[in-house]
Amino acid sequence: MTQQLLPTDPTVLPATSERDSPQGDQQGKARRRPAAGRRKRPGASPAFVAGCMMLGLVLLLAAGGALLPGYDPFGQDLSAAMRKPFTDPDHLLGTDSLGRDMLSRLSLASFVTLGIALAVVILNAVIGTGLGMAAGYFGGRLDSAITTLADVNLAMPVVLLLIAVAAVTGPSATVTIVTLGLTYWVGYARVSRNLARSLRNRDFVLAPLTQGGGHGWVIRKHILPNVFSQILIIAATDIATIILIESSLEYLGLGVQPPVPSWGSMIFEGQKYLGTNPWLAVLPGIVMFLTVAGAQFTSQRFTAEGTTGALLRKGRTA
Amino acid sequence: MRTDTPAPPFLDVLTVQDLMVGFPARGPLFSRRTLKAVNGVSLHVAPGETLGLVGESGCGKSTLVRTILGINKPTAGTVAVGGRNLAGLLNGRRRQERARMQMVFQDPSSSLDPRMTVHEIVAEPLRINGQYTAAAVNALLEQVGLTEAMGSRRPSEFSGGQRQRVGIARALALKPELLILDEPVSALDVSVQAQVINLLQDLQAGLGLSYLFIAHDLSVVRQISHRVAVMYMGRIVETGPVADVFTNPQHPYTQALLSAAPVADPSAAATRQRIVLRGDLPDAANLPSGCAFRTRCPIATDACAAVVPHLLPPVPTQADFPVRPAHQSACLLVHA
Ligand SMILES: Nc1ncnc2c1ncn2[C@@H]1O[C@H](COP(=O)(O)OP(=O)(O)OP(=O)(O)O)[C@@H](O)[C@H]1O
Ligand code: SF4
Ligand SMILES: [Mg+2]
Repeated sequence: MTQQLLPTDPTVLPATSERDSPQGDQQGKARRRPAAGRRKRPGASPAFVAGCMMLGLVLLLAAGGALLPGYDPFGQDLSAAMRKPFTDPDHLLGTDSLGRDMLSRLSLASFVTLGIALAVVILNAVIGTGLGMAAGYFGGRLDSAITTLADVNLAMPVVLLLIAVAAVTGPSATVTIVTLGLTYWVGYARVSRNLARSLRNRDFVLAPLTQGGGHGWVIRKHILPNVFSQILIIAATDIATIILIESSLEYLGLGVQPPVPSWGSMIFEGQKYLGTNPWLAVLPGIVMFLTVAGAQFTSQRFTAEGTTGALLRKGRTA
Repeated sequence: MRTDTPAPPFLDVLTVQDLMVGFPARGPLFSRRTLKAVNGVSLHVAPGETLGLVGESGCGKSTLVRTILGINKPTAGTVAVGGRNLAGLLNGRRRQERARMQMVFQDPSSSLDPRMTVHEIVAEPLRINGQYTAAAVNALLEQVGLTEAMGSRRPSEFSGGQRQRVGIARALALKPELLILDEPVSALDVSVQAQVINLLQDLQAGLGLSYLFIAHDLSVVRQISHRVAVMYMGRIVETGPVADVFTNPQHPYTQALLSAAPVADPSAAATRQRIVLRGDLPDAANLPSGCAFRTRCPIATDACAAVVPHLLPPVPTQADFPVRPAHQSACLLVHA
């Protein structure tokens, strides 16, 4: 390990050179990744830093809100209703039409909205990656079947579907999670299918097959790890979209039910009072903006970096 | 050139009989036909023996070995390991028998997972089969001339020759009797090639391994092989002990290959006549009738289009260089 920490120390270099291998390759000196070769990431671009700060703020609100003194998203106090932000020390961000503390409600709404979005994205990623890898790796009829399924899925009007499902089961967070979770996986499937397809004939995938390993082994040990980073990138870009869709569903009343707040339902509620207290709609709007913009800014760094994938790049040039 | 003959075998490590491998291909318009990548190949490898397999790019060498290892499915023919036909075995047992043959791939940069450390790569076959110990991996690394410390690095940090050593260590992990080497040195510099060849020869001497060694490079094949087989468009056209085939090639294709190869000895270079191959390889999905080589053969006759020549032992002659029985070729004129 020290050798890798001290790449310039001449005393550690011989351990990597041909002297240690009896036949000593001529080109033997183990090629160290030169410091310059370690691709400089776009790094601390202003957009990335800003994005991180925006996301950090929202996460702090969602996770830390409950720890604040006076946290109470449900307690009504009609005598203190409709306070504007920064006018009442007990209610830092004011109160809504029922006198409930806006900061507490925003915090809970963030927790709820982000939680649902995360669950949806995880469900999408698992389904899409699983189907995509299976399609790309096994090919043939399974591939055609999954591709068809993806096309059908893309053609499906999700909001109408959700309305239909909610009409039958009644709206709830679970219905939103399951419906969105089952419908937005096509992006993951496409990418993992194509990667798996290009990987399955690579020699390092064939080697374990000739050594007693089954397809399960190969997929777990070689396909999935090589697909994983791409999946993370898609998830990072997708989460903003999912939040927007989810919030519009909440806005339509298809989702968590009162009194539990979400950004979408808070905006819907607040709209009734735009004339008297616009903050009721603006505050959740700001939090939503911070999240979506923050997610976009931070994920841009990955997309610029990784659309082709380090692995494929390496394989082609080598 | 190797003159030593391995001990007479009890059972061949590998026996391939009339193997055929076809891929679906597109014909004219909407018709479909079969690309016969391997078109009736028989070969065998004895314990401790190296069989060199040569042939132009696209003649089906990789397809042949991939089928032997079960990556591709044969359309006909059998593969037997230690005299036991793999097709007749249950899956688990077949896998076990197949592990007696291990593969070393051509391009070490695509045969090693770039995300794994060298230690993990060599450990993989052991883990699959529940035999992993760190000591076993280190011993394997040492066996191919790498150090334990190199195990913690990734393939991208190694030279081509070192990567190929990693590939060899991985192939040795399950203690195979036969290594199938698909152009193991053609991606390497010439000087590095020699070192890897030396390593392979040392390993063969030390472990009694058999090799099925594929190459385009005739000088490498000549150096390492006991016997050679020359392949053209999915068929073996000539096979025999390496000295016989190289000094007295029978098939026009082998003669052409040898005449194109550079020769170290200038007097030999002066006397031999160059046979230049006309034309390109035929379309593998649409092979010529009769002898597949006839479109390029300098001495082809009308009969060559009608009859498929079989691999046959020589007819006895009074020539200066009598051809020994083990030296077989598939040409109508040789046996005319
Ligand atoms: N999976 C496949 N599907 C269709 N055709 C294939 C497939 N694999 C190989 N072929 C075809 O089979 C023929 C033989 O290919 P193969 O790779 O076995 O040749 P090779 O002798 O190993 O060549 P090289 O020296 O370039 O490695 C080629 O015409 C090739 O296009
Ligand atoms: S059979 Fe005819 S075409 Fe084929 S190699 Fe012999 S002479 Fe040439
Ligand atoms: Mg090949």
